[in-house]
Amino acid sequence: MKIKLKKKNTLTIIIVAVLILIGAIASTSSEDTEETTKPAFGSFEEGTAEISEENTTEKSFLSGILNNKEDNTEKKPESSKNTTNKTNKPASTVDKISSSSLPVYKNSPYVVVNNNEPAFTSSQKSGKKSFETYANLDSLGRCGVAYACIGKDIMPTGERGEIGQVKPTGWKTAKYDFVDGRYLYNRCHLIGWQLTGENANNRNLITGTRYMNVQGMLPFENMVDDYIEETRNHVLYKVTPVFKGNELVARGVQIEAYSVEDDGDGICFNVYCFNVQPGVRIDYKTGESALDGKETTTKKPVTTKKPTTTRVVTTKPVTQKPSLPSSAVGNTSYIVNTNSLKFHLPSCSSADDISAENRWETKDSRDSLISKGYSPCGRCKP
Amino acid sequence: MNIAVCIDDNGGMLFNSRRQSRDRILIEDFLRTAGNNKVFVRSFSEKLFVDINVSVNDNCLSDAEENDFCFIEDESILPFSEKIKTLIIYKWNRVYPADFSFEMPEGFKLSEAYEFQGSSHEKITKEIYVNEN
Repeated sequence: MKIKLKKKNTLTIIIVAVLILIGAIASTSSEDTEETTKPAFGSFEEGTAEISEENTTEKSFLSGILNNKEDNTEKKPESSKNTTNKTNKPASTVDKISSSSLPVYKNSPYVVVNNNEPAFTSSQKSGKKSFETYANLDSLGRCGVAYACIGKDIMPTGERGEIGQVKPTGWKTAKYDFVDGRYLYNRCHLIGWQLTGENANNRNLITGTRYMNVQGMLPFENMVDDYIEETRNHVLYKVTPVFKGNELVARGVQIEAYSVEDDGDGICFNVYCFNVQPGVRIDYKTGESALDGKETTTKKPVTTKKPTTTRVVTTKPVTQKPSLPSSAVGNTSYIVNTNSLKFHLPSCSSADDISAENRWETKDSRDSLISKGYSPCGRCKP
Repeated sequence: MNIAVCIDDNGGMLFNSRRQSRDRILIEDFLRTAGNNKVFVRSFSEKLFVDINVSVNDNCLSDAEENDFCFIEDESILPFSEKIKTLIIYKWNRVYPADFSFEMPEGFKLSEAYEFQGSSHEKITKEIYVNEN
């Protein structure tokens, strides 16, 4: 009887162990699938130090199961941390983002997704070490997910480099006189330069409208940048370009962010920024554009050589409206590098090195240039 | 009472119940401005004043007296505008996302304005408004 009972107990333990093992394998396999079956969004590059850090973290079998359990419970939106829950200008919200049912642009550069709760797992949220990963380009050459844990140690310390050599999918040169900077498209960093200092990384640059770049993405990048600068904490940051079918220009980008050390108390958002430009109709299959017929006819494409802006220098104020006069305001002429977004005094030696394509001579004031996203040269200090 | 708030270029203060930005030097400037007067903060702002002698009070806009200073990030000051002697508005000179914005009470006139460099902000504008009501 004792032997039978012992055998029965042993059998039960084996069955339970097998079930747990199958469950664990299924769960792992499901996680793998989630990361690798998003052709429209691309897939993470294998073999990078960052990815291997995530995937090879040593875990006991039991802790793996526990982590998976924790991950499952995270699908519920978290309530706000120790914060008040006040809004007097609530943003539009959607439950989720998918390429088959994208939100409709309604005069706001972004919508909130899933009540601003990002979809990071608890194991992701527990990492306090900086890394950055950029998905391989897909078969059409499109960017995929850019994902990072941003800390002060990977933020840029030098000046921005050239990015003009990168031609993201759908890239077309198009100018409209009513677009800030006139150029419809920017080479738009998925993870902003001010956060990880990636210059001409073609896996981090998409064709994005000036509107999405400045009105949509930049405010969020500013918020994260300031938080890290002031706290020295880490922020999980994931940007997913959303393409529809085989289109070459993304319809928008989803940005998710979460501050690690304070459990999201400082930074916690999940938003979708529209890759649109009010007044312009975009063919997302090719990147071609035209005036939107619904808009005023005074808006017209520009054919003259005018300032180009390829990306906002995001460590500087972009749309500031200084209420006080600056001592530097005047009629001084400046030489602008429309690629690096630096402006120089005409006598600056760096100004001589600017190629004709990227050179713009202007009598705009210093404040005006700064408000357009340009920043003063560190050498001649205009 | 005297009030200080921080806003971005669009008058925003919070997004998803999180402050848009922060700056250590701005806090020092506020404390210098308050001098020896009593300083109130709501619990939301307590983290910005670690190891600093301030009174944490979620009803500070009601409880503050004539010369007291309140640093407000997450509440409208409109219902208390009659009590406010001076209003200090710090401007980040940047744009952040916002779903909670500042509401300027009527009857306040700009008396002074300064600019200074913050710890993580190239230029912060400080405007001081006085209540003319």
